Amino acid sequence: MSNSNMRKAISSRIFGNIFRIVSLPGLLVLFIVFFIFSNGRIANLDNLTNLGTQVAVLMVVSLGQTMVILIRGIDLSTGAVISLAGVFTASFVASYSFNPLLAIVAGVMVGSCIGVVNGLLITRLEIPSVIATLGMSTVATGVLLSYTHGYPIYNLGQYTDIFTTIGSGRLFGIPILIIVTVFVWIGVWLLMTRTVFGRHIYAIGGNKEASRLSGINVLRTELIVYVLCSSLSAFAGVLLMSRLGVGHPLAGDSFLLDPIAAVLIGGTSMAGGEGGAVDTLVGVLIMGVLNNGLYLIAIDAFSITLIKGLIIIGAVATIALRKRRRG
Amino acid sequence: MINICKRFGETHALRNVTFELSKGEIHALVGENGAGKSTLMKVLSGAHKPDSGKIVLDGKEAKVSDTSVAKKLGIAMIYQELTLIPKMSIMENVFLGRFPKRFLGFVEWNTLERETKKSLDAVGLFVDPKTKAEKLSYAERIKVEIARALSTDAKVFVFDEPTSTLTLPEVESLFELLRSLQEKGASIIFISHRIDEIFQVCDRATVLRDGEKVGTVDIKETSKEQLVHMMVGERGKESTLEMPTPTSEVVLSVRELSKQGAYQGVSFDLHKGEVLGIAGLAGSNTMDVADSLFGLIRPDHADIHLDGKHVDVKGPAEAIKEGFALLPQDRTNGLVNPMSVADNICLPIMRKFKERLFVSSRKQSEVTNRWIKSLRIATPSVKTSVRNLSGGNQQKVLLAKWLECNPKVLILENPTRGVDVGTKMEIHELIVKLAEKMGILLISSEIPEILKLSTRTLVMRKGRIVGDFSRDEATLHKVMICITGADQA
Repeated sequence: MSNSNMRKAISSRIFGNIFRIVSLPGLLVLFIVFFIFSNGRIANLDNLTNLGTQVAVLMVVSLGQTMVILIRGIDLSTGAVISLAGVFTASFVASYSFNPLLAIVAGVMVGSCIGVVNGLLITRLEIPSVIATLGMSTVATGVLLSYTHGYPIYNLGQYTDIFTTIGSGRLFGIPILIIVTVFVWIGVWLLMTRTVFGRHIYAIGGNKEASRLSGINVLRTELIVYVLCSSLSAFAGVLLMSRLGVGHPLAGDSFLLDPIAAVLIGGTSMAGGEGGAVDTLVGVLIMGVLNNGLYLIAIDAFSITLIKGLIIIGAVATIALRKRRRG
Repeated sequence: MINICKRFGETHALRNVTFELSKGEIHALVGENGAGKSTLMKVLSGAHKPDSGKIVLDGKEAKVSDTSVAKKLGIAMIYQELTLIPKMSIMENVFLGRFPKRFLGFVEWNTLERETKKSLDAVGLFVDPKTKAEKLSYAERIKVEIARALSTDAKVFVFDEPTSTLTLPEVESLFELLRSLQEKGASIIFISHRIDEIFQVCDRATVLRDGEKVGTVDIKETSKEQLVHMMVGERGKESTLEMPTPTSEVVLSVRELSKQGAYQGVSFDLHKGEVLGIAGLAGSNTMDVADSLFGLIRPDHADIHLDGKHVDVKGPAEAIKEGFALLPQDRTNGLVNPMSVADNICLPIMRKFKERLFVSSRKQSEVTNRWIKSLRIATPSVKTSVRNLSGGNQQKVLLAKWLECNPKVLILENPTRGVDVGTKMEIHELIVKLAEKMGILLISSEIPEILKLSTRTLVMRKGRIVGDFSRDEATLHKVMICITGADQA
């Protein structure tokens, strides 16, 4: 292959994939608008690092939600699982003096249990995912409230420093939170695009019956997806707890709808089988840029919610229109 | 109905068809699939508008512009898929859309029940009108539909293959009801593929073929062979394909495959190098047999040997492992639309492309390109979504997917449905060529297709194998006679 052909092939491979992301132009437009209105402050390195830290937790949860939405499901228990894992990890360290690593693993496993139940309810009893996960969300919140009586766990004892490092520390000037999130993203991206399991997720989302007829174990794959989503949410809960330095029983509340918004804005379709980790990355960044940009140009907190809502609806409508035009 | 014409795009569904129904007669409407029977009835019921021609009812021209107009004129359609609402009671179903109302729109339940009871008695169905429709058998639901038609003072009843899923006693009781309707002066159009039934109950028969009327005959002066001949015409077997020679090696042996309510005692041997066709009409449950072999339906009794080894297939995954492949009758159940050609072809055997942890897209492309070339699949690239391909090419992708699994037995259900003529020829050639390497079970609702491709043809009727024809014996006439039960006294 000649040099120029090679270059063309490589560039088409990279750019071909980038242009596939329907929401990318939106992200660029949004960024440019805020760049102008904030006099360039949004592109300031400190601010970008800040933005990255702000979206880290959302990114991790949204990856799990992406897989669930790809198989035409929805997980409404992510917020509760985040709180659950945060509180239990904190409690394992504070009250039972677990080794921090063990506490994190145990906390994530507690969160995964919710995913196991979600998955079993949805695949074995054929309960719609909306209902099953909403119910389990309430169960998880209930467990939390009776366990903590509503009080946050403040004192992480001798291991406080370790969690502070995870939450706010830096390695070579880069926040550890961002580094961890990048690794999680790469892992999930590889899982979804390169492994047999990942291809099966897309196949089931695209056509469940055809997947079954092709010999794919549909129920098992779906179950694993729900467990993975809860595990990722739980891990996000640990990250959030580290950042806050507190195991709060209501910390995850805002992570019920934001991940779903991020996934859908990114362009993953609720009709299943289309979208992925790259799309969700763009969706999460849009959410981040929005929050960060509106704050930078000093719009009052009351209007921020309204503007955010309008922009989200606008983004989803644009995607829908573009898809319809493409047929 | 006089000189009815109807075109769908380029195809003439009906060409100058004139159909005459006398008062108080039972008139059969017969023809092969696609002959235009349903279209004609849809014109009568107002579901389709004719391009030209007119409908005359009791000497007056009737403009049937809508299905509700047809109902007002007293034309009642009873379709194969019944239109009752399962969760509602019989009386609500009977009076749906015209509930007797009281002040402020409250339903007069007493009148509703009394009137329904009356119409149910008239059709000989003695059940509580408050019973929910879902509790009734198919035969009982047909009677409820008739009761509904009676309560609207219908004069013309159209039955679209009502007997295909009925048991023999149920058919008898339905026929009795038809005769009693006839005595009361109703006119009945009866659509059926079963020639013997037509001779049992009908007075006259009108035959359609390829959208044209072949003729109307008096049943008493016609033989069953004559009627089949009218349906089929002079078409012979166009055999330009190079047929494979079946070997003596038995790939698949099926003994006494039975499933309550679907099929009984199905036994056959499939040899390597053989295309074994199974022909049957709707209700003969040929597809169920295929689905059972692939593990989609659990048979009550099965004794299946593959390559001499006993197999008990519990699901598609196992079936694939044993060496079965199934091209499903509905293409939408075979392909994952948003996924690429390569992913679709490699779906059942994704694991084979694994290099360490990951699926190798290079290996996938190699395999896919080989199939694109050998099956001449027209696609811009291996990464194109299958939804952007034409129906024929989608079907080729599906075939490639199963061939890549190297099956011992390839089961094809309607392999050329919705495929254009050119591709159909290609797929036919391919099927015949493939048989050299495996055993092929061909199930199709197009009987000529089965005859063209099969080295041997089995005929199923009502879930049983009733005929076994070698390629030389299998003429359209003989098979049609066997399939419709016209050979039975």
